[in-house]
Amino acid sequence: MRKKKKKDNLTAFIFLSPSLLGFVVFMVYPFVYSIFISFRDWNMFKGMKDGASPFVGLSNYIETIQNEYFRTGLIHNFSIFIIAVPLLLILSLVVAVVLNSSIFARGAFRTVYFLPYVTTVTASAMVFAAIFHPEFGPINSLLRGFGVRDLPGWLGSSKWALPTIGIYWIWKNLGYCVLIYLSGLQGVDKTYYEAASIDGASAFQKFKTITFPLVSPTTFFLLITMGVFSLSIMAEVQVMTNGGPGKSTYTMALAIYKQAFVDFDMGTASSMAVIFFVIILGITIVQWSGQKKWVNY
Amino acid sequence: MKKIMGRVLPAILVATMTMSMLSGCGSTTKNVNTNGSDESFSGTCVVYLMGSRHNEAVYQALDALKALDKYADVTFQINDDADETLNEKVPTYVAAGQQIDIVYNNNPLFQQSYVDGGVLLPLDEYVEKYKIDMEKQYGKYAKYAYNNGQVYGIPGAATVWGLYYNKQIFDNAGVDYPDDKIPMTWDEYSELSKKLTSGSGPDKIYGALHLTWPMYWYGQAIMALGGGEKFYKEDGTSNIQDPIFATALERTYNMMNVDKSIRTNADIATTGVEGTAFLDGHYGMMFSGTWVLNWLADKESYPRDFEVGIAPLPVDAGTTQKEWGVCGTFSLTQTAVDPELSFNVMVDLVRETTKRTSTEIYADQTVSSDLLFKETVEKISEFDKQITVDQVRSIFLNPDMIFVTEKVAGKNPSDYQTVITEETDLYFAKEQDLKTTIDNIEKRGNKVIE
Repeated sequence: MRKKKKKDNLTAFIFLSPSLLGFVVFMVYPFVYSIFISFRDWNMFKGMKDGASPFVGLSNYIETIQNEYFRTGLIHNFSIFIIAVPLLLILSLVVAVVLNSSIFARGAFRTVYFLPYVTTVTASAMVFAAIFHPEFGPINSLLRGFGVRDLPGWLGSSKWALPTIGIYWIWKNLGYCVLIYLSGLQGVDKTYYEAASIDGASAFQKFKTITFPLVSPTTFFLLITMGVFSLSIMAEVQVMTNGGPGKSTYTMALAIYKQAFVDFDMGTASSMAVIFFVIILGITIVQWSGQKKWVNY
Repeated sequence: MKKIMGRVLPAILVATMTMSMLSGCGSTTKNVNTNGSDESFSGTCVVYLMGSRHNEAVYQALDALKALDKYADVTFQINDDADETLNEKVPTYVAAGQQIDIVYNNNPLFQQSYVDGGVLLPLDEYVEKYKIDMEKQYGKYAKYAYNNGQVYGIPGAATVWGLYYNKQIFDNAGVDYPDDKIPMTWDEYSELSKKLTSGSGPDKIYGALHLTWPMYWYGQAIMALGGGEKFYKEDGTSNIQDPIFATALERTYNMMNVDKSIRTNADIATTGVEGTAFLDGHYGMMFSGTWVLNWLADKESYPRDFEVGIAPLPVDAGTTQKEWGVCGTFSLTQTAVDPELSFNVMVDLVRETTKRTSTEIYADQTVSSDLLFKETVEKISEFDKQITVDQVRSIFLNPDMIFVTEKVAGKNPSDYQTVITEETDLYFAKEQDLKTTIDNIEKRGNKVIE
């Protein structure tokens, strides 16, 4: 019996080994190496050869804390995390509930919602920039039509650029979240709703007491993944504003990228990446420990 | 026997493959003389053309090099990708150990970043060995070879700017064309831009097209002060409090937000407008470099339905022509397999391109460049009959004109320019006043200069 268990374990490891190897080579090793680099004045062309990358203790971490772009990026990422993620989840749950009901052209709507998610960031960001063009864009034309005088400058304004990127990010990820919610909703047994109807529950009461608690594992999954995505947002920013106007749309990932590949300062960039990882890990642990109170499995 | 062969054969195969790989990646130098006269090389030379790829003469020069006995045993691998982000990718390739012998830096700020980041190799050893007198060979462009007191580049293409204008828009506005010999002042330029502006909405005609490049405002200031070096005071700190910077900023702000004769910075940035937009017929003028001549000559790739005129760049004051520009350089990277071979290629490539170039000035002063602007302008004049070779040469090659360095030229120029751009973005977007902008540039600029 024991021998069979050993054999089963071995078989399992053999089957797992390709992905385990990939995980170790492409995730664990770079991560550990990045921690190593973060304590050195790293010369990306010579590495450790001829003492080209001396140990500098915590100075890269001190530089990271003092780095204005990283600090600004941290604030911006938190703003997106706190505002955009809940908005995205609420909106996608609402859309998913509607698409889960028997409405006309349900399949077509599902495809339409999912399209932005599979469109390249560059293409969709350019379209978004045109839609939100302060002078000629349809959004401001509409607002002008409603008599709004002080029109937003959207991506061209330091006050509006980050909210515009937030709107874009919600629009782009909505389809994915809707899809995940739909799969969650389809797992909810219809008899609960039938029983609630017999008891005279309203649509809102059904949503509050049946739908929301039963899709809470899905909500939790999306909260974790979208939380991580919102903290690592970069491509959208790079295409739409490259961190500007001024520093108004800098994010942590963009700051890391520029430190590494524009300033070629790999030591500080690695320390930024380590701090970035710790922040994400911290937030995820908090979310994980809090889930016991509201997630129903 | 079979067993032995089974072990020996793979070993021989692996050894052969390893040797052939090593000999393929490396190179050997034969018959090297200190005067560099009749030496020859072998091996592979990988050239990343990057910003120099627009010039057909570079390709002709490379063909000429291949025909030389000196390079008969050299294999040239030319990368002429149109990837605009190659400047950021090349250091990563080099760090990964990929053989890249020669790169082209078309921007001194990139060159300084590459030097500070350790991407490039110093060339002093080879300059000395081959007895190259930088000042004699590259004249006024020699200064672009130096970073931190060492030679890091062989000067290549020099940019010179001029004023291009849409004759149709001038005609419609009933305004005289700019003089092709006496430059207008910046005040006259902004006034003219206002006169040329008409209409509204997507069909609006703007007096001029300004890109987001900071040169479009600070060029006016450094022209008056004497070049990008004047972003710094004598003691090396920021000189941004010089009133000329405020004047230049304010003039551009007024064109953008008061006269509305140029599109706003934010508008240009978010819609990704590039210089070729001038050819869509919505802009009266655009000051830009000689690369525009390529667009004007190639009507198939850059169609337009109006005639273009060319005039000298506006000046701060007086009637003497003033110009700004920079000179790109060819450099060796850390993964250059045979630096001596690559050094020779760079020097010869610049010399041979100088002989053949028609669209942009090349830096070698020891050979004549009789073809300069000839072929290109002849093509342009098929459509724009009033543009002549003599006219273009008098605008871009006037020996009496004052030439200043275009970019921020001093300590940590890249970060300093980033600070300048970030602060002026806010000023142009009406989110920060002029005084705060200047004060912030000084404060943050001094921090990065330190």
